[in-house]
Amino acid sequence: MDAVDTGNRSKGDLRLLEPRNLRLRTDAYGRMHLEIGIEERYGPVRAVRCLPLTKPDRFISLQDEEGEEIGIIPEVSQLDGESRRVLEDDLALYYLKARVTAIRKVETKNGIITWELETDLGPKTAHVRDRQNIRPMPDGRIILTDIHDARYEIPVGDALDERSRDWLMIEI
Amino acid sequence: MPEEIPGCAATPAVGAAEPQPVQLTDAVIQEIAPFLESGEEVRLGLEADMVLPASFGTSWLIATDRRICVFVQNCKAPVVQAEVPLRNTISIRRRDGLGSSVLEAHTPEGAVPLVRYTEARAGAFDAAREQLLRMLPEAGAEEDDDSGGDHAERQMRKKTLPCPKCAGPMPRWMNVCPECVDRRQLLVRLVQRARRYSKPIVLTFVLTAFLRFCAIYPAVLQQELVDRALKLNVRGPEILQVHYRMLWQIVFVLALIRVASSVVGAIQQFLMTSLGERVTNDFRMDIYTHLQKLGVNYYDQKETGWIMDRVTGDTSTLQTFMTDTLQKTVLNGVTLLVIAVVMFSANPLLATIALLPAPFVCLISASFMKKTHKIWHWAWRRRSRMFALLSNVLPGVRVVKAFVQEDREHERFRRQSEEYMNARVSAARAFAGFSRSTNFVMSLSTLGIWGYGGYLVLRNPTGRPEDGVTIGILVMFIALVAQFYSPLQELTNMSQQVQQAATSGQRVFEVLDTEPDMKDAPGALELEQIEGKVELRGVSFGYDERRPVLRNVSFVVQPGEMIGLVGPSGAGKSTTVNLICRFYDATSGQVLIDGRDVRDVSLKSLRNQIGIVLQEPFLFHGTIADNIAYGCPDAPMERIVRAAKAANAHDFVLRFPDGYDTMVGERGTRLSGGERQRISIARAILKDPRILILDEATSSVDTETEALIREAIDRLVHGRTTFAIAHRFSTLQHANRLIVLEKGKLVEEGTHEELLSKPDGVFRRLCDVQKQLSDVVAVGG
Repeated sequence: MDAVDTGNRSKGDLRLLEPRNLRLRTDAYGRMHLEIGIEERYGPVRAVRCLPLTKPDRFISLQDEEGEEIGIIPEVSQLDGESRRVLEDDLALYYLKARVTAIRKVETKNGIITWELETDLGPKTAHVRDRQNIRPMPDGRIILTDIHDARYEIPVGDALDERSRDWLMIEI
Repeated sequence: MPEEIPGCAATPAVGAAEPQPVQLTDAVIQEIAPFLESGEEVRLGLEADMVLPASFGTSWLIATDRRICVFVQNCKAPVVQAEVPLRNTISIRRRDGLGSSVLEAHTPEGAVPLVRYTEARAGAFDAAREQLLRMLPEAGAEEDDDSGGDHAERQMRKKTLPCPKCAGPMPRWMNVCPECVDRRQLLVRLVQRARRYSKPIVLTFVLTAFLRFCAIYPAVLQQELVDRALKLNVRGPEILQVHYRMLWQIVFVLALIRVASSVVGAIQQFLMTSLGERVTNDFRMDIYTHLQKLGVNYYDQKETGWIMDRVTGDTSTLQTFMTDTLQKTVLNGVTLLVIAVVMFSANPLLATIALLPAPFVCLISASFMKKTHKIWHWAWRRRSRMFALLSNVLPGVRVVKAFVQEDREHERFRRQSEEYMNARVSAARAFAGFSRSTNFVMSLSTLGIWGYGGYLVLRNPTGRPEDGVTIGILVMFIALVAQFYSPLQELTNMSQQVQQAATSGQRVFEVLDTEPDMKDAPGALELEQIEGKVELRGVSFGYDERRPVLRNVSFVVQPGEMIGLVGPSGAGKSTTVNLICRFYDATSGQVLIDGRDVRDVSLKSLRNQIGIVLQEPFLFHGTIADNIAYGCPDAPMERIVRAAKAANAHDFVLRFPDGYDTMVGERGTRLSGGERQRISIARAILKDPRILILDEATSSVDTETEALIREAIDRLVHGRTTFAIAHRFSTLQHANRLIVLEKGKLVEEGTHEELLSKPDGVFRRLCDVQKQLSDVVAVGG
């Protein structure tokens, strides 16, 4: 339970926001506004994920226009329906992550690895530079980061078809 | 318990090996007897390998109950070079030089040089000096000269040390020089290790033996084929039938052998390879497991690259030896024997002709191996140099371009590359010559068989095997000879493989034999949650026991105090914290935590309560979250974020697209120095230790980051007993007390103000210099 005492908080302290105490709404320009309890109002605010790859729905940092952190939401699922939707839309706008449904072809040339992919956002050819941008996650997923910083999530092997898995095995 | 390698002197775990003292022989003692007065007793006698002032030779240092003298050999008779009566001697001092040292006696009139000796005798003469000091009228241990710290450092950087057995040169990483290593013992150890794989080895041995059989037997069958099945003395339908049958039978058996050998060959190949991989893996794991147990001291002495080479490179050499070489040697020996027996029982004369070139092949192989080994080593060194040049120049490309030295670098590389090419061409030339000559010699064998054998065939009256040589026997000989020479060559080359295995084995066993010098004492207790009181009582220590870095240091630190350790470089600050963390043990004195000697508690429980922030923060290959939680892998995310916020790291972490999931370390995102520092601080904050070691980075960061780091450090040290090796004056100002070390001694202690007010204080002097520098900078803008 979080007390409303922003005044006494020092800069180095963590403020965990109580989800049941929050309201997130969008204004006419599509920017997010935050209400904490009765007294605090912030807007426009930005949402930043602390663990975008491993825990995308936990520990979301809310920052004001100057980039100063207001607090961290520990668990998105505990927000009320509309706030949750607002937050997820905002995050989806910022974090572009496509889920890969099939791998058509992978080609390496001059140090750039070109992936021809089918994703849930449509077909896409992604150019990946360096092996370190092909990142296996502890749970078996693989995250590709292309040269434009867009991310593609390749699900765990079983979810893909045979051909896709063959392509994957060569690359990993 | 590692076995003792017999014949090698036991070596101390730390630093240089102690050579055997070279005592005087009876012959020498007799020669100097005339110089002694009546009733004079010789107490000490030692031979040195140099003659004062500066030449190589032999001198003898003799100490009696009355005086110290030094003799040198002059035209067959010893002559006194120096002499000092004991009662006139105040002290014995040692002056260290590069590669040699001098002992001199200090008298009221001045110093008398006694004897000079090289590094090889250093240990013995140090002991002699101790003994002499005890013999002096005012026995007191005098300090060494000022060379202390530097000399210790030079010793640590030396590439070769004297071998404990023969005092010859020995690479640093060995315990005993290559000449003295007991090769037989090494091989015995390797073979013993092979015992745990005895089942697969026996299996592959049986399979390989079978394959050898499959290679040799067809030759014998061929003789049958030619001499009996295909030889028709009389033509007739019945006889033809018999011969047809014999023909098909033999061909069938040959086919069977072929099939069997293919199948068995595939199985054997697979088994050998997987056995080899298992052996290598076991070795790797053993080495790594053992490495983890070794103390910081070991890693200080060896380069990481060297260690990694042991784990990867040498293990594969040993794999070849244990799985391949051992088996092959036995099998080849047996093969040669069997072939020789078969040949000689068929026709001794022909056999002799066939095998006559054998010794020559051996000779050529042996001499070639020696020669090529040299050439390959030469080529390998050129290659190393070439790569070293590349790895040197490429990172410095900006400097090359700025100073317009491209042409010069190009020329340098061209020369290295050409030298390498030339070396390889020489090797290729040698090899071409070799393979052609051995082939030629072997073909002489075949020629001999055809020539003389043919002659014998023609001379055979009946054309039957019982009466002489037949075509069949000829064919068999040709086939057998082909099987003979390659095992022979392999056996000749065996010595080189054995040598390689012995070298690799020595290096690997050297790692496995190194005793971890930091061990929990038997019955070590677990240290429970401490208050944080730290005390050093009369602590002395030196990485090299002969050169102390800390001398009799004592101080008490109360829980929660922040202590700044100050002093010129080399004064002993880092060493002090190393002792508190128990990375090393003090040679004398005690280190006490909450009143308990650190040696009485388990290392784990001790180190769990100490946190460190190093000068060069080391980040492992992992995410930022992993790195912050390194000391507490189970820490929940909330604690990680709290620690990061306290360390002023949270903000920059969120600026990365992957946030706390960002990969850092070797192949990950590069963090700036200031960022790494703050992650390192967050790591320490998360661990929440009662004692903190802060080794401040001297590298400069911009003022903004500096402020952030300072704030982070303030939050970190709050409430903890902190030892800060301070470089920032802000840190020193925050410290409760400062401890000033100089040349290993605690010279001043007190608060910032107290020490500054001392007119000739060491600390004050340091501050003044610092202030002058910063004044200049300020004026310069």
